[in-house]
Amino acid sequence: MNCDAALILMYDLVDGEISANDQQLLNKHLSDCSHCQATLKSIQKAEKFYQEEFLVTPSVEVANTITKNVWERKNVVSFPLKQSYSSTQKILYYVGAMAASFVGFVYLAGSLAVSQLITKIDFSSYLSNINQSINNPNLDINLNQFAQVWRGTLTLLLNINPWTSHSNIIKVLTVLLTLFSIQFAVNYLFTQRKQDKSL
Amino acid sequence: MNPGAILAITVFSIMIGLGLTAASLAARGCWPNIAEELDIITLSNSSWRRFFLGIFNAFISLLVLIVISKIPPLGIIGLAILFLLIIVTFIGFIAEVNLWGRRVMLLRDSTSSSFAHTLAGGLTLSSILLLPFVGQMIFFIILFQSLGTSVYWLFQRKNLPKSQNLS
Repeated sequence: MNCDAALILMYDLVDGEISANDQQLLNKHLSDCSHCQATLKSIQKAEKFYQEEFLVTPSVEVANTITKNVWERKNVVSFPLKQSYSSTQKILYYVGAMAASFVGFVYLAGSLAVSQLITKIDFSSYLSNINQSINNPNLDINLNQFAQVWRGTLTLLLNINPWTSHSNIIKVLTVLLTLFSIQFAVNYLFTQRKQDKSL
Repeated sequence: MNPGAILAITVFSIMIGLGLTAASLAARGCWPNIAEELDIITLSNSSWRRFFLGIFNAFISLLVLIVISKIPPLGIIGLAILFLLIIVTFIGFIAEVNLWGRRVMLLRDSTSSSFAHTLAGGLTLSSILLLPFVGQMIFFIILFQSLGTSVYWLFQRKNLPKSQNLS
């Protein structure tokens, strides 16, 4: 028997699949060949290493836990969001969003309140009083200028107030814009979050 | 209710159920990547969240339609919004019907195709739709979930993993 044939039998020996006749032949070759003795030792050493280090059989509890976890999570798909914010950034964004929402709410609610008040107070007499004051020659010039500025500001405020506008289109567009803004904000905040861990 | 009306409702329900199932199958065949993205959305977001988002958007859309109806010249925009709402709901329905099919097919085996899932889900939902009142209410809940799924998809699609389906 040459060394090449002995090598095949050595692997069979390590795997425990060698016949009695082949083992006898191998033993005879090994007794005469120091090179094959060393090879067999290294093969046995390698086999022992793999068995001890890699072929670890988990305990029943560990195996059950792994199976349970895999089974429970098998239908769950999770994907990371591209953006991840730090706690400080989150707080800043939330404060900013709340401040913007508050300003928008105050503007809409305030303008609605003003439009309701205008219908109750005698606004025309108020304006006429201002006009009379402006046209009064005895009035101090500074007060006259102040009255003009005040009237101009008030007129401007009333003109940009959607609720007091005479055009229905402006009212409808304002309401639609508000609704779409709310819809977009809620949808965005609701969907841009970490994914669920379970269904 | 007379037998004629009952028969009409039954036939209409069967038509709606089977029609939507066939349309879902066709849409899944035409746009497999989008269908896959929608499947990920349904599996990664809870039913309650999808339902809430759907009912919220339906409510806002209803308000918008009411406001628009006050101005007759804007009626065409109202119709466009209604049409868009139906389309968006149907997009989500593609994934919802698949999810129902997946749940049903899990009772049999866990390795079924999307075709089998959609078919099983569609048949299940069509059958549910035949149940008076309760079944129709469940169907409406599923429609709200579909709308929520679509909204999730519209806002999260950029973050979804790239599809491996190149067909």
